[in-house]
Amino acid sequence: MDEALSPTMDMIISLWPRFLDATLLTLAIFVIVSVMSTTIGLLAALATIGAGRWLSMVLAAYGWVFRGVPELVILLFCYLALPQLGLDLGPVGAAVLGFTLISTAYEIEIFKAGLAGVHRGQFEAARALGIPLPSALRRIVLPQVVRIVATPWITYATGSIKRISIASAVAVTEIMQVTKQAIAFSHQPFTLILFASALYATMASILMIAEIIAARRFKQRFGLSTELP
Amino acid sequence: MSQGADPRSPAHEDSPSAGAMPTRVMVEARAIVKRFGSNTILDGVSLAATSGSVTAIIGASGSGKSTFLRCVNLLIRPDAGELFLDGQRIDTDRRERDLLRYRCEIGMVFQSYNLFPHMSALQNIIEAPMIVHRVSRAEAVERAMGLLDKVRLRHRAEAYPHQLSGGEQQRVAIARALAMRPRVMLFDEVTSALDPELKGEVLATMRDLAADGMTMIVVSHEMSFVRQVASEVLFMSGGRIIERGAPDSILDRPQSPELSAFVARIMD
Repeated sequence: MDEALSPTMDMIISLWPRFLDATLLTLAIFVIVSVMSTTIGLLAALATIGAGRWLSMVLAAYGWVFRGVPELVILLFCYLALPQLGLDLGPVGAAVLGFTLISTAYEIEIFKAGLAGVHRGQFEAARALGIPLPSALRRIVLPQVVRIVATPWITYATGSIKRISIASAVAVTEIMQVTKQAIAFSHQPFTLILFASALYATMASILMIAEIIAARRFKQRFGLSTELP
Repeated sequence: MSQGADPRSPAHEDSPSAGAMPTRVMVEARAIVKRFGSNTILDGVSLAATSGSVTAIIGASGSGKSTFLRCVNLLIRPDAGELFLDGQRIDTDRRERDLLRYRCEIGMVFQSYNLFPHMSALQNIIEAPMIVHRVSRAEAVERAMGLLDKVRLRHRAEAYPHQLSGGEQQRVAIARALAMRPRVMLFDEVTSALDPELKGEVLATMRDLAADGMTMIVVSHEMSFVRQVASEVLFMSGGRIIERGAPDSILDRPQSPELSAFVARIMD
């Protein structure tokens, strides 16, 4: 038992610094992509409130491309094709750009649904009270949007973390890339893939727990379910 | 008095600014027209509410009552017609941002309460005065507590809307509108969503408000309230005011077939 386990443990321990770096890189990409795509997605969704049909059409076309084309294809485009156009971002830069483009398409849909879920009467009440639109959005509409989108946003974010494994295809040394490299010289795919799975599952679990806590807080504080009405 | 189908209102001749104090016209709408696509929702609706009066608007659903009320505070922009507040003409073509000042002179209470669900009753009331009038929090809270007293809900100040009954929510909504110190209050079927036993408390609050001299325009199906409180009743049908007059004459002696049919329908 000891003899069977210890070489495996030794391997994990010796690879641990690399896995730690890879995990931190995965998290960094996730945070940057989430912050950027959430911000842009929210602003784009807000812009559709008063905007004409052309903006909706532009956003629809954008969503059609970046939700329709496989993530791998978009990452390869950012990594291999953009340098041909003079934009060489390197592997991590290409992955961040690609994932941001993809995630933004989804975040726009999430926030559009969130805004649609706020009762029309809320806007009307704010207008009737003479509250300017920016204040109304910040104080009245957005807190309600946050409640509505909490579940879909975290569901998508959980997927986002896992999707970063695709970046291994464009030479980003995230978890999957390190795992593949380790398999190549140690011939321990079973243990290594199990270990990589555990890392992904841990990160996703943290997000899922965050969702449960958020849902409970909304319920305690406002008696409001995070379920869509 | 009746047959006010002429788009020019009966009050048209007395210039809003010339009115003497006791019968000062607080809010006046002249020949308001609203179309949605090819549908004409309002076809020249006029109204003049004198200071302290209660104007009731009755009519079947789809007759344009709510749309007209929303045109008065410009939540909906009329396609034609004029608005006056206390003798001053309101430019209805101005940008939304420029209309906000006018709009907070006119309080509005909705059928569906529209309280902000993530804020307590007190927060609901202090929000707009703090944002719009830049009132300090302490001052806003003090005034809000006074208004909660007025609607008999001081003890519910910290409750969230979901913890309040429909009648309580509606009374908080009335207090919220009053917090802006409006000169006119609009009520859009404010008891229609309430159980019969809860309607009474809201109507009592509205009675108090009328007794205090608030100028009110009330869209309502509560005929006993209309009869007791309204100074003038307007009957709308098909986007026009078909009849107008004192409550008793409108409800007891309808002239037009539309009003006769409406009265017959609501009385049983």
